[in-house]
Amino acid sequence: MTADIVTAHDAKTDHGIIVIDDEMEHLVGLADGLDRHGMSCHRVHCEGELAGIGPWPDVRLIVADLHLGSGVLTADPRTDFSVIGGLLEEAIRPSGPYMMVLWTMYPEQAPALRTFLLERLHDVSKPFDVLPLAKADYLDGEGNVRDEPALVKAITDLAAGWARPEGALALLGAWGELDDNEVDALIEEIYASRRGDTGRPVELED
Amino acid sequence: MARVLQLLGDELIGSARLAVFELVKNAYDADASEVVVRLDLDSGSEPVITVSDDGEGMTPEVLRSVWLVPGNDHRKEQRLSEHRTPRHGRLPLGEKGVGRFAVHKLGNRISLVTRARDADECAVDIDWNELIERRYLDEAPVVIRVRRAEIFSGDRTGTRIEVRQLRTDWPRGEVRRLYNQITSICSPFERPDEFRAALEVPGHERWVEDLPDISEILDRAIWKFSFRVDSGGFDWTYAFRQIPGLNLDGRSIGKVGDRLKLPSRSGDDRMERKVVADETVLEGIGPVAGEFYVYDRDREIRQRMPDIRLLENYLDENGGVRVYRDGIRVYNYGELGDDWLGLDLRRVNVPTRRISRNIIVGAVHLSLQDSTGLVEKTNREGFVDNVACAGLRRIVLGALAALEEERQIDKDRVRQLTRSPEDPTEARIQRPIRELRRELDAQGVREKFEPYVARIEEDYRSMQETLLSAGMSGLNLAVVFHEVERGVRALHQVISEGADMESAARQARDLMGLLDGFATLLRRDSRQQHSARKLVNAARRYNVLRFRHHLVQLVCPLLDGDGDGFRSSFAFGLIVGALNNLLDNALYWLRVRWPEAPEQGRPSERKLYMGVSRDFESGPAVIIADNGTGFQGDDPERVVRPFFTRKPEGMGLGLYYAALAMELNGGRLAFPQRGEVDIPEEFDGGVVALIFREGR
Repeated sequence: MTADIVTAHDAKTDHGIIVIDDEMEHLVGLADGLDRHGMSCHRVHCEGELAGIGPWPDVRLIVADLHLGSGVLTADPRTDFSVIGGLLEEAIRPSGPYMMVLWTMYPEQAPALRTFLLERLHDVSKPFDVLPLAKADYLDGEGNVRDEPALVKAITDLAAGWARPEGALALLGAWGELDDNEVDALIEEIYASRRGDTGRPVELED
Repeated sequence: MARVLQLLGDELIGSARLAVFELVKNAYDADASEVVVRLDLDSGSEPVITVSDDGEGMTPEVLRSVWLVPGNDHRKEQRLSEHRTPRHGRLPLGEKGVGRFAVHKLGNRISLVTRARDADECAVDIDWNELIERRYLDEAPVVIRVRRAEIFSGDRTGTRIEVRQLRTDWPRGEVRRLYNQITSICSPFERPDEFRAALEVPGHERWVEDLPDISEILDRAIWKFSFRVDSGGFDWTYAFRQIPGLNLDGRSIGKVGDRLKLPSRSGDDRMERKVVADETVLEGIGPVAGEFYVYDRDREIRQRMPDIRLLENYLDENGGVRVYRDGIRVYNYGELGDDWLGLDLRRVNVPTRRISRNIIVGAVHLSLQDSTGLVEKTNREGFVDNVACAGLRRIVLGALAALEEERQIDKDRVRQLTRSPEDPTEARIQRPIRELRRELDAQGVREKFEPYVARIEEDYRSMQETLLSAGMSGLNLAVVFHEVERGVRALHQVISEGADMESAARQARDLMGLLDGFATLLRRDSRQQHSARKLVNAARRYNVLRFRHHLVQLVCPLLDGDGDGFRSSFAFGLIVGALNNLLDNALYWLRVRWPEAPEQGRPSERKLYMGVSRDFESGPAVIIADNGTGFQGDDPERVVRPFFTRKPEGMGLGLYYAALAMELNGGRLAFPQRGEVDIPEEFDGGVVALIFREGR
């Protein structure tokens, strides 16, 4: 089963989960897995074009690759951080709490991306956290998902560790159906779960 | 307690050789002009190490209250109060009072004779075999004998220490290493006045007679770079010498008051966002000077160098960058096994440009008086890791990068003369990859590295396939392929030499990232009609966070109006990538020219222009211009060459990528002179044009 790929021109969503990648095999592999396990997600194949993407203010979970076609050939990840930041600020424009999963061959960059976004995003919500998910652990050499249930469980576990353990993703996905009190309660719960977490300090130079 | 003292000595002094070095430093602090280390190792008698100096010697009082009191910090006090020695005006090197443990590291029986000016001679015998039998030190009195001068007769002063019952053996190899160590105690470039350290091995002179003199080694360097960084800026000279049998002129260049570009990472928030050195970087470090002598071990050069084996043996044992303070060596910088600058690891990504330890003999000079932030570790393994130490590393790496900038120009000239044309589609990665995997297996880390190794292998293969099918062999990609192969070999080497695995894994990921970028570049081929406006807007949106963070004023008339600019057919992602690379460069050079952020409420000096131009015959263009440093005299052919860069940590692929992306889309990258394009005058830095074919 392959859902339609959302491109810059036709993207609209009511979903709270967005998967973004510039490599089609990786995007489809992950998104199909989530779909098959009842977590309908929105797919964005991002190869450099931002026009037409978003705004999706109600997004609650963004699973994004680190390299979204910046094309900058350097060991320095800041240009790629900037691309993700530009995507959030100029296209997706999240409003409300959301979490980010960095789905990448470079999972060690997640703390630095978190710092980058917390420091530099303006006028849109900042992610509560950016957690790593290593592609190398779940994809084979040709970009196919090796163990789909394990991959979906990894994402569920990441989200569950962030919000309430039971049905966290479902709740986040149904954000738009909650009344104000439920929204307040959820936000409070999220804050409570993060209380005392000062984050992982990361030094950014650029 | 006596036992504890001996254990302390063992812990504090890493090796017997280092112990000898400590004694030589003591002689320096004692204002000696000469210190002679003598190893009597004749099999017929008991081995003895004797260290004799002609320094100020010690009175009975000093011997009792200072030398025999471990941890006495009178040298530190002298240094802090800037109390200089009377004869040579030295500041003391010792500061923790632990150097005296060194004698006990060497042997169990010590005889010390010393004489200060206008004083009687003192003699002390210490037998550790007896001392450690006693539970407390005060049960083991040490007798100081005061006598008429026997050793230091007449007006002579100084100290002589004889060590017997040696605790380590001194075979030929160890003596040779000690010889190298003692001869490197003083900087070969900035020798302190009137201080000479010598090693004598009577009866075994042949053990060391074939060791090359450092000046012979330095004479054979192909590259020489000298520098000085202080509050006045960065002064440097670079020289490339003629290579025997190669018809290529030497080249020399230098600058006074240049800006030192720093590699990233500071460990100090004050330095955040600074890409060039200023006075704050030098705090606690003081002026830094240095010399780098660099060699070439490429096959094409080796075969032209006489007696290469001798040189390479020396470099294998002694290559690296040493640190000297007031002309005296700080250990263990530059020792075999120490890679304080991370030279070998940083080489994995761009092995051709980067200088590894086994091709450099370098020295960095510090002033003892000014480098107050640099504190030596008690165990003599370099400076304590602090802000100043991190700053020193950045400064030296920045200077080294300046050398690498110039060296790559001459390396290219050499390569053009010596290399046969390479076919990028020829498979050469298999063997280095196979050897790397074997090493990873041997080290038990295959699982950790395999995802990256597999990806490198796959990307390399897919790039070759693409090149074969598309006939794109003329795009200088051979250089990229070659570099990746060398990168895999360099990774193999650092892993086999026991590098920190986390750092090695990071380098493997970076190497993978380099290939990933190219593989993606060559895979994309979806050319469609797009407008210049859409392209420029995408680049702006992708970089908006960086423009804002670096306070860059963006001037973009195209986006202020309504028009499309022009339309052309191209692969959108590829060209946005090209633009991102150009903007990445512009942001860096703006920060080099304008290192300081503007004060609150003041407009930023950093300006960037993105617009369109119809000033080119071959088609419409997107122009990126800035008021940064510009191309600093480098011609277009050079700046688009793969791996050429003047950024200390750059890969040198940004402009190459941009040129390649334009070629793959039927356009070209150009570097117009001022006046060739109509842009506002204030953009007097770099100007780059992406020239398209209209409407295609």
